[in-house]
Amino acid sequence: MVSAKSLALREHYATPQHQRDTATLGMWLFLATEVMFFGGLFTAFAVYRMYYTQGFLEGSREMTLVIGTVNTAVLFTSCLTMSLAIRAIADGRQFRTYVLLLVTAGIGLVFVALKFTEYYLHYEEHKVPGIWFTSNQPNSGPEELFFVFYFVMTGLHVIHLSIGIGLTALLAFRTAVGRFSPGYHTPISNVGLYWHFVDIVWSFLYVIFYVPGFH
Amino acid sequence: MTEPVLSAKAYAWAFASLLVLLGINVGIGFLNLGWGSMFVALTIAILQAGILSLVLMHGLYERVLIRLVMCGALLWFLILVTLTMTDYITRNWLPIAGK
Repeated sequence: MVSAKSLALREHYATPQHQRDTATLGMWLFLATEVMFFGGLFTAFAVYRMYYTQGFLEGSREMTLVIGTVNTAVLFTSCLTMSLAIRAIADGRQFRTYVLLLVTAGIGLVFVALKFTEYYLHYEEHKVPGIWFTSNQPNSGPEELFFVFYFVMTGLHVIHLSIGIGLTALLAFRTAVGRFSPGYHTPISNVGLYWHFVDIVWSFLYVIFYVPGFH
Repeated sequence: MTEPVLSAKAYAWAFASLLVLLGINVGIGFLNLGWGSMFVALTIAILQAGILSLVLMHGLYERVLIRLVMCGALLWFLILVTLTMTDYITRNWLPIAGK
């Protein structure tokens, strides 16, 4: 049987620390490209919101505020369980890590379910831009543009989160078969970085799409 | 240097802070502060991003190279936003014919 220790160090690294540093740097560089990916979308949103302030406010008033707020709390909870999973594997508690990773993936699924419930509500209210959109507001054009941004940006976020759920579930399985140890758990740490980044993106999506609709 | 991992208590505090900030965001959202609402909401989101990146993602405890990548990502994002917004905001400031 292959031990966790022998799996840890690949032949082209001098030490486990060298391997860990390389993997972590790679993940951070990937996240930097993701900042630019979502950054372009946020910038485009800012430009159009500046031009069509009233229409975008009317779009925000169509948001389901309760679902958006609950979903934010749900994601923050998943951040806690992911961090506790990393803590647990660092302490050598494999079963606890396995459970916490499964819980994290489960919470992610709750988020996705709530998000698709919200999408369905928008469909029922005829707020799907381009194919199923009606509005009695004077700024229906800009409001439709708001929903274009909404579906594109939250849709990309859900895709990212779904990838995170899949990776977290895979890590739970790999933890169960003993692939990780206190000395080697870089994949869990790196997926944790990705998971937290996706949560950061959501905290800004919540602010630009939901908060203006509160009052 | 080994992998930075904080205590469960530290993670719990970070989680509680995130929820408190979310509560403040919801509370302020119901007040009509005009353009100030978006300013406050964005400030809170930046604080939440700070907690997530510096504490939960261990940005505070990583080596200098990782922190440089973090700062680089932020810097390039700010360049993107600043140059784009200064262009759009100032377009109508000067009456240039043919614009």
